[in-house]
Amino acid sequence: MFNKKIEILSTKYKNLEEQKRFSSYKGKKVFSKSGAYVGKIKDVTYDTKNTITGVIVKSKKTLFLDLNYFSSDTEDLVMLTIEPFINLIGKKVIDSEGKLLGKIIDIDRNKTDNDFKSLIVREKFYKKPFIIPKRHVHVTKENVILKKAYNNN
Amino acid sequence: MKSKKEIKKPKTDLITSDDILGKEAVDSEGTILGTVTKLHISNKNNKIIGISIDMGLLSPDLFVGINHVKYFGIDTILLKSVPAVKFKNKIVKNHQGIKLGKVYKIETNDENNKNQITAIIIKPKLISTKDNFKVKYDQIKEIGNSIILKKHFIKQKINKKSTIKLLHE
Repeated sequence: MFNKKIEILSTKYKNLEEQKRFSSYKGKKVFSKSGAYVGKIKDVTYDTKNTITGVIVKSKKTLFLDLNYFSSDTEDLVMLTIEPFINLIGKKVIDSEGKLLGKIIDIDRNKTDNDFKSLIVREKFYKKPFIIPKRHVHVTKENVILKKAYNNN
Repeated sequence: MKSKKEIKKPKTDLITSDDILGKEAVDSEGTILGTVTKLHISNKNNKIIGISIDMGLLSPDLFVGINHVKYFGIDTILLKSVPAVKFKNKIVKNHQGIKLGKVYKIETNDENNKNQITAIIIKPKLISTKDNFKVKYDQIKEIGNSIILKKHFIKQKINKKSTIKLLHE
Protein backbone atom coordinates (compact mmCIF):
# COMPACT_ATOMS: atom_id res chain seq x y z
CA MET A 1 0.00 0.00 0.00
CA PHE A 2 2.64 2.57 0.95
CA ASN A 3 5.45 1.99 -1.54
CA LYS A 4 7.63 5.02 -1.03
CA LYS A 5 10.44 4.48 1.47
CA ILE A 6 10.03 6.53 4.62
CA GLU A 7 12.97 7.47 6.78
CA ILE A 8 12.13 7.00 10.45
CA LEU A 9 13.16 9.55 13.02
CA SER A 10 11.96 8.23 16.37
CA THR A 11 13.29 6.98 19.70
CA LYS A 12 10.17 4.87 20.20
CA TYR A 13 9.25 3.31 16.82
CA LYS A 14 11.48 1.22 14.60
CA ASN A 15 9.00 0.74 11.78
CA LEU A 16 5.58 1.88 10.61
CA GLU A 17 4.07 -1.55 9.97
CA GLU A 18 1.59 -1.47 12.83
CA GLN A 19 0.84 2.22 12.53
CA LYS A 20 -2.27 3.67 10.93
CA ARG A 21 -2.38 6.91 9.00
CA PHE A 22 -4.93 9.62 8.59
CA SER A 23 -4.72 9.23 4.81
CA SER A 24 -5.92 5.62 5.09
CA TYR A 25 -8.99 6.82 6.97
CA LYS A 26 -9.93 9.72 4.77
CA GLY A 27 -12.73 8.71 2.42
CA LYS A 28 -13.17 5.31 4.07
CA LYS A 29 -16.76 4.11 4.11
CA VAL A 30 -18.59 3.55 7.36
CA PHE A 31 -21.34 0.95 7.71
CA SER A 32 -23.77 0.33 10.56
CA LYS A 33 -24.19 -2.90 12.53
CA SER A 34 -26.65 -4.26 9.95
CA GLY A 35 -24.56 -3.19 6.97
CA ALA A 36 -26.39 0.05 6.17
CA TYR A 37 -24.18 2.77 4.71
CA VAL A 38 -23.58 5.65 7.12
CA GLY A 39 -21.09 7.90 5.35
CA LYS A 40 -17.44 8.57 4.59
CA ILE A 41 -14.71 9.57 6.99
CA LYS A 42 -13.62 13.17 6.58
CA ASP A 43 -11.32 13.61 9.51
CA VAL A 44 -9.79 11.96 12.56
CA THR A 45 -9.92 13.44 16.06
CA TYR A 46 -7.51 13.01 18.93
CA ASP A 47 -7.29 14.26 22.51
CA THR A 48 -4.65 16.22 24.43
CA LYS A 49 -2.74 12.98 25.04
CA ASN A 50 -2.55 12.44 21.27
CA THR A 51 -4.84 9.41 21.44
CA ILE A 52 -7.31 8.97 18.58
CA THR A 53 -10.80 9.43 19.99
CA GLY A 54 -12.94 9.08 16.91
CA VAL A 55 -13.72 10.16 13.37
CA ILE A 56 -15.75 12.84 11.64
CA VAL A 57 -18.09 11.28 9.14
CA LYS A 58 -19.85 13.02 6.29
CA SER A 59 -23.32 11.50 6.45
CA LYS A 60 -26.82 12.94 6.26
CA LYS A 61 -25.38 15.26 8.86
CA THR A 62 -21.75 15.70 9.79
CA LEU A 63 -21.20 13.25 12.60
CA PHE A 64 -18.50 12.64 15.20
CA LEU A 65 -18.24 8.89 15.83
CA ASP A 66 -16.58 7.73 19.00
CA LEU A 67 -13.98 5.01 18.41
CA ASN A 68 -15.81 2.88 20.98
CA TYR A 69 -18.55 2.34 18.41
CA PHE A 70 -16.15 0.66 15.98
CA SER A 71 -16.73 -3.05 15.53
CA SER A 72 -14.08 -3.58 12.88
CA ASP A 73 -11.71 -1.40 10.87
CA THR A 74 -10.33 -2.89 7.67
CA GLU A 75 -8.43 -1.36 4.76
CA ASP A 76 -11.64 -0.48 2.91
CA LEU A 77 -14.30 0.12 5.50
CA VAL A 78 -15.36 0.53 9.09
CA MET A 79 -18.20 -1.44 10.68
CA LEU A 80 -20.00 -0.08 13.73
CA THR A 81 -21.55 -1.82 16.73
CA ILE A 82 -24.68 0.31 16.46
CA GLU A 83 -27.42 1.52 14.13
CA PRO A 84 -26.65 5.24 14.33
CA PHE A 85 -29.65 7.48 14.90
CA ILE A 86 -28.61 9.54 11.87
CA ASN A 87 -29.75 6.71 9.58
CA LEU A 88 -33.34 7.35 10.62
CA ILE A 89 -33.32 10.56 8.59
CA GLY A 90 -35.13 10.00 5.32
CA LYS A 91 -37.09 7.00 6.54
CA LYS A 92 -40.85 6.86 6.21
CA VAL A 93 -43.16 6.96 9.19
CA ILE A 94 -46.26 4.75 9.14
CA ASP A 95 -48.80 4.63 11.93
CA SER A 96 -50.37 1.46 13.37
CA GLU A 97 -53.32 1.74 10.96
CA GLY A 98 -51.18 1.88 7.86
CA LYS A 99 -51.34 5.64 7.33
CA LEU A 100 -48.22 7.11 5.79
CA LEU A 101 -47.46 10.19 7.85
CA GLY A 102 -44.36 11.42 6.06
CA LYS A 103 -40.59 11.23 6.16
CA ILE A 104 -38.17 11.95 8.98
CA ILE A 105 -36.35 15.20 8.28
CA ASP A 106 -34.56 15.60 11.58
CA ILE A 107 -34.07 14.06 15.00
CA ASP A 108 -34.31 15.73 18.39
CA ARG A 109 -31.86 14.45 20.98
CA ASN A 110 -31.27 15.02 24.70
CA LYS A 111 -27.78 13.61 25.01
CA THR A 112 -24.87 12.66 22.78
CA ASP A 113 -25.41 8.89 22.96
CA ASN A 114 -27.16 6.90 20.22
CA ASP A 115 -30.66 7.72 21.36
CA PHE A 116 -33.32 10.27 20.49
CA LYS A 117 -36.08 12.19 22.18
CA SER A 118 -38.39 12.69 19.22
CA LEU A 119 -38.62 12.50 15.44
CA ILE A 120 -39.33 15.52 13.27
CA VAL A 121 -41.52 14.42 10.38
CA ARG A 122 -42.88 16.19 7.34
CA GLU A 123 -45.53 14.85 5.00
CA LYS A 124 -44.70 17.05 2.01
CA PHE A 125 -42.12 19.78 1.44
CA TYR A 126 -44.69 22.57 1.56
CA LYS A 127 -46.32 21.32 4.76
CA LYS A 128 -45.23 22.16 8.29
CA PRO A 129 -43.17 19.51 10.05
CA PHE A 130 -44.51 17.87 13.20
CA ILE A 131 -43.03 16.01 16.18
CA ILE A 132 -43.44 12.38 17.11
CA PRO A 133 -42.11 11.55 20.59
CA LYS A 134 -40.03 8.42 21.00
CA ARG A 135 -42.61 6.74 23.26
CA HIS A 136 -44.97 6.50 20.27
CA VAL A 137 -42.45 4.64 18.16
CA HIS A 138 -42.85 0.86 17.87
CA VAL A 139 -40.28 -0.19 15.27
CA THR A 140 -37.27 1.60 13.79
CA LYS A 141 -35.83 -0.69 11.16
CA GLU A 142 -36.31 -0.30 7.42
CA ASN A 143 -38.87 2.39 8.15
CA VAL A 144 -40.60 3.57 11.30
CA ILE A 145 -43.87 2.09 12.53
CA LEU A 146 -45.76 3.76 15.34
CA LYS A 147 -47.64 2.15 18.22
CA LYS A 148 -50.89 4.01 17.57
CA ALA A 149 -52.86 5.80 14.89
CA TYR A 150 -52.05 9.49 14.26
CA ASN A 151 -54.04 12.47 13.06
CA ASN A 152 -52.22 14.26 10.28
CA ASN A 153 -54.30 17.45 10.39
CA MET B 1 -44.08 22.56 16.31
CA LYS B 2 -47.11 20.67 17.48
CA SER B 3 -47.31 17.09 18.54
CA LYS B 4 -49.98 15.26 16.55
CA LYS B 5 -53.15 13.92 18.19
CA GLU B 6 -54.19 10.30 18.14
CA ILE B 7 -57.37 9.55 16.16
CA LYS B 8 -60.41 7.49 17.00
CA LYS B 9 -61.15 4.35 14.93
CA PRO B 10 -63.35 4.86 11.85
CA LYS B 11 -67.07 4.19 12.31
CA THR B 12 -67.43 1.87 9.34
CA ASP B 13 -65.74 -1.54 9.07
CA LEU B 14 -66.47 -1.83 5.36
CA ILE B 15 -63.74 -1.46 2.79
CA THR B 16 -63.69 -2.21 -0.93
CA SER B 17 -61.08 -3.61 -3.32
CA ASP B 18 -60.15 -0.01 -4.15
CA ASP B 19 -58.96 0.36 -0.58
CA ILE B 20 -56.58 -2.56 -1.00
CA LEU B 21 -55.40 -2.87 -4.60
CA GLY B 22 -52.57 -0.58 -5.64
CA LYS B 23 -51.47 0.06 -2.08
CA GLU B 24 -48.02 -0.74 -0.76
CA ALA B 25 -47.58 -3.74 1.51
CA VAL B 26 -45.38 -3.12 4.55
CA ASP B 27 -43.96 -5.89 6.74
CA SER B 28 -43.52 -5.73 10.52
CA GLU B 29 -40.04 -4.19 10.14
CA GLY B 30 -41.37 -1.35 8.03
CA THR B 31 -40.00 -2.70 4.75
CA ILE B 32 -42.12 -1.80 1.75
CA LEU B 33 -42.37 -5.15 -0.03
CA GLY B 34 -44.27 -4.04 -3.11
CA THR B 35 -47.72 -3.21 -4.41
CA VAL B 36 -50.83 -5.26 -3.77
CA THR B 37 -52.13 -6.34 -7.17
CA LYS B 38 -54.63 -9.13 -6.46
CA LEU B 39 -57.18 -10.26 -3.96
CA HIS B 40 -57.67 -13.99 -3.66
CA ILE B 41 -61.21 -15.11 -2.85
CA SER B 42 -62.30 -18.63 -1.97
CA ASN B 43 -64.89 -20.14 -4.32
CA LYS B 44 -66.31 -22.24 -1.50
CA ASN B 45 -67.12 -19.65 1.13
CA ASN B 46 -66.62 -16.34 -0.73
CA LYS B 47 -64.05 -15.15 1.78
CA ILE B 48 -60.80 -13.33 1.06
CA ILE B 49 -58.01 -15.82 1.62
CA GLY B 50 -55.05 -13.67 0.69
CA ILE B 51 -53.38 -10.98 -1.38
CA SER B 52 -50.70 -10.95 -4.06
CA ILE B 53 -47.85 -8.47 -3.86
CA ASP B 54 -45.90 -7.36 -6.91
CA MET B 55 -42.31 -7.25 -5.67
CA GLY B 56 -40.81 -5.84 -8.83
CA LEU B 57 -39.75 -6.91 -12.32
CA LEU B 58 -37.10 -9.40 -11.30
CA SER B 59 -39.06 -11.05 -8.48
CA PRO B 60 -42.11 -13.30 -8.61
CA ASP B 61 -45.29 -12.10 -6.93
CA LEU B 62 -45.66 -12.91 -3.26
CA PHE B 63 -48.86 -14.48 -2.00
CA VAL B 64 -49.67 -13.52 1.59
CA GLY B 65 -52.42 -15.38 3.42
CA ILE B 66 -55.10 -13.24 5.02
CA ASN B 67 -53.98 -14.41 8.49
CA HIS B 68 -50.69 -12.60 7.92
CA VAL B 69 -52.38 -9.27 7.22
CA LYS B 70 -52.49 -7.02 10.28
CA TYR B 71 -54.38 -4.06 8.90
CA PHE B 72 -55.81 -2.72 5.64
CA GLY B 73 -54.72 0.87 6.14
CA ILE B 74 -55.48 4.16 4.45
CA ASP B 75 -52.15 4.30 2.66
CA THR B 76 -50.53 0.90 3.22
CA ILE B 77 -51.35 -2.71 4.00
CA LEU B 78 -49.58 -3.75 7.20
CA LEU B 79 -48.42 -7.33 7.59
CA LYS B 80 -47.95 -9.14 10.90
CA SER B 81 -44.58 -10.63 10.10
CA VAL B 82 -41.52 -10.56 7.84
CA PRO B 83 -41.76 -12.87 4.80
CA ALA B 84 -38.67 -15.07 4.38
CA VAL B 85 -38.58 -14.30 0.66
CA LYS B 86 -37.58 -10.72 1.51
CA PHE B 87 -34.06 -11.93 2.19
CA LYS B 88 -33.53 -13.30 -1.30
CA ASN B 89 -30.84 -11.32 -3.18
CA LYS B 90 -29.81 -9.52 -0.01
CA ILE B 91 -26.09 -8.85 0.21
CA VAL B 92 -24.23 -11.10 2.63
CA LYS B 93 -21.18 -9.74 4.41
CA ASN B 94 -18.77 -11.12 6.98
CA HIS B 95 -18.34 -9.55 10.43
CA GLN B 96 -15.85 -7.05 8.98
CA GLY B 97 -18.28 -5.84 6.36
CA ILE B 98 -16.58 -7.57 3.45
CA LYS B 99 -19.05 -8.69 0.83
CA LEU B 100 -19.27 -12.47 0.41
CA GLY B 101 -22.11 -12.70 -2.05
CA LYS B 102 -25.88 -12.58 -2.24
CA VAL B 103 -28.64 -14.76 -0.86
CA TYR B 104 -29.49 -17.19 -3.64
CA LYS B 105 -31.97 -19.40 -1.83
CA ILE B 106 -33.67 -19.60 1.54
CA GLU B 107 -34.46 -22.79 3.42
CA THR B 108 -37.41 -22.59 5.77
CA ASN B 109 -39.13 -24.72 8.36
CA ASP B 110 -42.76 -24.79 7.32
CA GLU B 111 -44.03 -26.54 10.45
CA ASN B 112 -47.09 -24.85 11.95
CA ASN B 113 -47.07 -22.51 8.97
CA LYS B 114 -44.45 -20.34 10.67
CA ASN B 115 -42.14 -20.06 7.65
CA GLN B 116 -39.01 -19.72 9.82
CA ILE B 117 -35.65 -19.47 8.10
CA THR B 118 -33.37 -22.40 8.89
CA ALA B 119 -30.54 -21.67 6.46
CA ILE B 120 -29.49 -19.47 3.56
CA ILE B 121 -27.64 -20.42 0.42
CA ILE B 122 -25.16 -17.81 -0.69
CA LYS B 123 -24.00 -17.22 -4.22
CA PRO B 124 -20.56 -15.61 -4.32
CA LYS B 125 -19.92 -12.71 -6.66
CA LEU B 126 -21.07 -12.98 -10.27
CA ILE B 127 -17.60 -13.44 -11.66
CA SER B 128 -16.22 -16.01 -9.29
CA THR B 129 -14.90 -19.55 -9.40
CA LYS B 130 -16.26 -20.24 -5.92
CA ASP B 131 -19.26 -22.52 -5.43
CA ASN B 132 -22.46 -21.60 -3.67
CA PHE B 133 -22.38 -22.40 0.02
CA LYS B 134 -24.88 -22.76 2.80
CA VAL B 135 -24.97 -21.09 6.19
CA LYS B 136 -27.37 -22.03 8.99
CA TYR B 137 -29.55 -19.37 10.51
CA ASP B 138 -27.72 -19.47 13.83
CA GLN B 139 -24.55 -18.33 12.05
CA ILE B 140 -26.16 -15.00 11.21
CA LYS B 141 -25.16 -12.10 13.45
CA GLU B 142 -27.39 -9.37 12.09
CA ILE B 143 -30.14 -8.96 9.51
CA GLY B 144 -30.94 -5.54 8.24
CA ASN B 145 -29.79 -3.67 5.19
CA SER B 146 -27.46 -6.63 4.59
CA ILE B 147 -26.99 -9.96 6.26
CA ILE B 148 -23.94 -9.96 8.53
CA LEU B 149 -22.47 -13.32 9.46
CA LYS B 150 -20.83 -14.14 12.78
CA LYS B 151 -17.05 -13.97 13.14
CA HIS B 152 -16.29 -17.69 12.79
CA PHE B 153 -19.30 -18.73 10.76
CA ILE B 154 -19.49 -22.30 9.53
CA LYS B 155 -19.72 -22.76 5.80
CA GLN B 156 -21.48 -25.81 4.44
CA LYS B 157 -20.69 -26.97 0.94
CA ILE B 158 -23.65 -27.86 -1.19
CA ASN B 159 -23.59 -31.24 -2.84
CA LYS B 160 -25.15 -30.62 -6.25
CA LYS B 161 -26.44 -34.20 -6.40
CA SER B 162 -28.26 -33.95 -3.06
CA THR B 163 -29.97 -30.69 -4.02
CA ILE B 164 -31.30 -32.33 -7.17
CA LYS B 165 -32.54 -35.24 -5.08
CA LEU B 166 -34.46 -32.86 -2.80
CA LEU B 167 -36.33 -31.29 -5.70
CA HIS B 168 -37.64 -34.65 -6.83
CA GLU B 169 -38.73 -35.92 -3.39
